[in-house]
Amino acid sequence: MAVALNLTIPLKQDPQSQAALKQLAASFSKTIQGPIDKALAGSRIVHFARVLVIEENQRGRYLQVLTEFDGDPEEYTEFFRKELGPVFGHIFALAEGAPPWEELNTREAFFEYTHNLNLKSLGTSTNLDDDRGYLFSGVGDKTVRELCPEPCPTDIERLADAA
Amino acid sequence: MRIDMDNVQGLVVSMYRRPVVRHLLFRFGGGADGRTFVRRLLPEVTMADVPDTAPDPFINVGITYRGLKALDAESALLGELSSSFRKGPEPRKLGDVAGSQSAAENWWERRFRTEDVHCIVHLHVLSDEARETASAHVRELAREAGMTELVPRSDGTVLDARSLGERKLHFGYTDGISHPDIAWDDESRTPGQIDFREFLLGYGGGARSSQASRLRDGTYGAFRWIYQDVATFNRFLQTEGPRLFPDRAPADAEELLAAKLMGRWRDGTSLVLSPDRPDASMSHRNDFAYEHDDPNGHRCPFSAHVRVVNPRDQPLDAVAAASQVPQVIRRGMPYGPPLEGAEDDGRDRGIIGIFVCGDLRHQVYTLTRWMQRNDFSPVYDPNRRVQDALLANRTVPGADPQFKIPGNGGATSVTLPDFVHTKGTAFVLYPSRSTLQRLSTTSARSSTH
Repeated sequence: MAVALNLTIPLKQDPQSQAALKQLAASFSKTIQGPIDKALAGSRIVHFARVLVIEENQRGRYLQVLTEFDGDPEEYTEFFRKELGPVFGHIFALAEGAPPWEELNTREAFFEYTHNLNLKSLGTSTNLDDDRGYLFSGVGDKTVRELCPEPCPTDIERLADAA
Repeated sequence: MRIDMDNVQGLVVSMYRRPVVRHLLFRFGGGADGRTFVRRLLPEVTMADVPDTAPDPFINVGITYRGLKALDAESALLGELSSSFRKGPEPRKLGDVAGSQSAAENWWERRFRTEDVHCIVHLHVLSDEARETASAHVRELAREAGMTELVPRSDGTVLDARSLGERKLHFGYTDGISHPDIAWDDESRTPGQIDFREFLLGYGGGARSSQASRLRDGTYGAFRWIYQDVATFNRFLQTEGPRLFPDRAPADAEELLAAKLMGRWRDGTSLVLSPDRPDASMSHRNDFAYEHDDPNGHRCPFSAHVRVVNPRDQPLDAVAAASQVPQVIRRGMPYGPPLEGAEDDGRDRGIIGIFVCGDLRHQVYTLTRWMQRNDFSPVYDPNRRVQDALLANRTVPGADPQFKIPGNGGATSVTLPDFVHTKGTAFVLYPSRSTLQRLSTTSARSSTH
C-alpha cells in the first residue's frame, strides 16, 4: 500500500524570508511545477503530490509537501534530493532552523531532516508501517506501476499536447 | 586519505581464514561494570593491521544501541548514530513479517528479545580447543563485569559456526566469490573500486558518508541468524528439476534448477558465462554482466539470487538508479551439521551472517526490500510481485511465489517454497579502537562534569 508523506516545514518569519515565500508562491506554476511534474512522473512510484502554504494572519507559517507514494521512504527521498535538489534548496532556505543546503545535501542528512519534519497522521497504519498513522486507499495496495503499466502523460504534458 | 588499520576492527577489512567461529551474546549489567569489560577486552580485540598468521583467537566486538545506552555512553556519541541503528532491526523491512516463521516474536527461539542483546563477541579460531579456551576467557571477563550471557537455544547451546570445507554452504553453493572491491586508501584507488566511506563512519565528503567524528573508523553490522531448510531445498530440486528440464538426466536437471535459483552453478560458475554446465575453469570468475550477455534472462533468471542483490549493469528504475545499488561486506559461516537427502533430521543448520555497512537503511534494508519484492528494474513484470528465488519470505503480503525461468522455448515457472527463515537479528556498531577506548572510560555522567 502507498505511503504518505506529510512534510511540514516551519517557515522563517522575518520580512525578507516572507517576501521570498510570496515570490516562490507566485512563480510556482511557471518555474517549479514543471520540474516537479517531470520528476514525479519519472519516478513511477508517486500517486499524488501537492505543495501548500499554511498561513496565519497573512503570514506563511508552514509549507507542506504532501504525497502518497509506493515503496521505501529512503529511496523516495534520495530520488527527489537528486532530481529536485535546487527546488528543495530553495524551499529549505525559507525554513526555520534548517541547516545550510550544503550540510543537508547528503543522503543521510536529507533523509533524517525530512523524516523528522514528517507529521504522523492520526490513527494506526494498516500498512504495518506503524510510525506513519492511518492512510485510506481506495485502490487497495495497488502500485502506480500496477495501475498504469505504461507511463501516463502528466497533466502538464497533456496540456502541452492540446496546445 | 589513508585508513589507520590499527583503529579498525579486523573483521571489517578481512575475511579471516579461520574455520571455527563462536558468537557470544551478552547483556551488560551496570554502566561502570560494562565499561570495565570493554576496557579489559580492548587489548585483545583484533584490529585490521593484525596479520592472518597471528595466533588465536581473533576477537571482535559489536555493541547494540541498547548496549551503548547501558554503557551510559555520552550523549554526543549517541547523537551521531543513525536513526536506523538507534531504532534497531525492523522485522518488516527485513522481510520477517508477522505471522511467518521469521516473525520477530520467534527470534532467538523465544528465549529473549533483540532488545536484551547488548553486545556480541565474535571468536574466530583454528580449532575447537582454541574456541573453548577463548570462550572461557571472555566469559570470565563478562562474569567479573556482572554481565549476563544470553543463550539463544533451548538446548543450551550457543551460536557456533564452522566451515563445511571448500567454502561450501548448506545448499551446496560455493560462497565468497563476489565481494565489493574497496579502496581503503584514496591515493591507490583504481577505477571501479568502492570508496571506503561507504563502510566506515566519520569521514566527510562522500555522498553517503557520516560526519560522525566520535564514531570514526567504526561501522555498522547486521547480525543475522538464518535457518536453511536443506530437506525442503533438496526435495524441491528432486521434484521440480526433472519436471522443468526433462531433456536432462535427473541429477543434471537438479543441478540446473539449483543454478537457476542462485544465478551460479553450485561450484560458483556464473550462468551468464556458462549457461549449460559448470566449468571449473570459470568457477571463480566474477567478470560478467547482464545487459549485453543476458538481457532476457535466458541464462540467469531475473529473480535469481545473485541477480537481485547485485544487478550489475542491468537497467534500474529511476528511483533505484538514484539510490545506486547497495553493497555490503558479507562475513558469514555455516552452522549445524550437513544434511544429505530430502528427509529432515530436525537439526538446526544454516548460516550466521554479518552484513557490514556504513548505512543500514540504504545498504541493508534496500537489499532486503529488493529480495522480498523485485520491483527495482524494468526487467520485472509490473503486474507480478516476484521475489528473490532463494532467500525471500513467501509469506510477505501480496508476494507471488512463482519463479519464472525464461528460455528460448518460452518461460517456464515453478512455485517456490520457503527455503530459509530468520532466527534472530541484531544491529551492532563495530567501534574503532579509539571509540572503544572512549566508551570504556567516558560515561554520560562523567562527560557532563
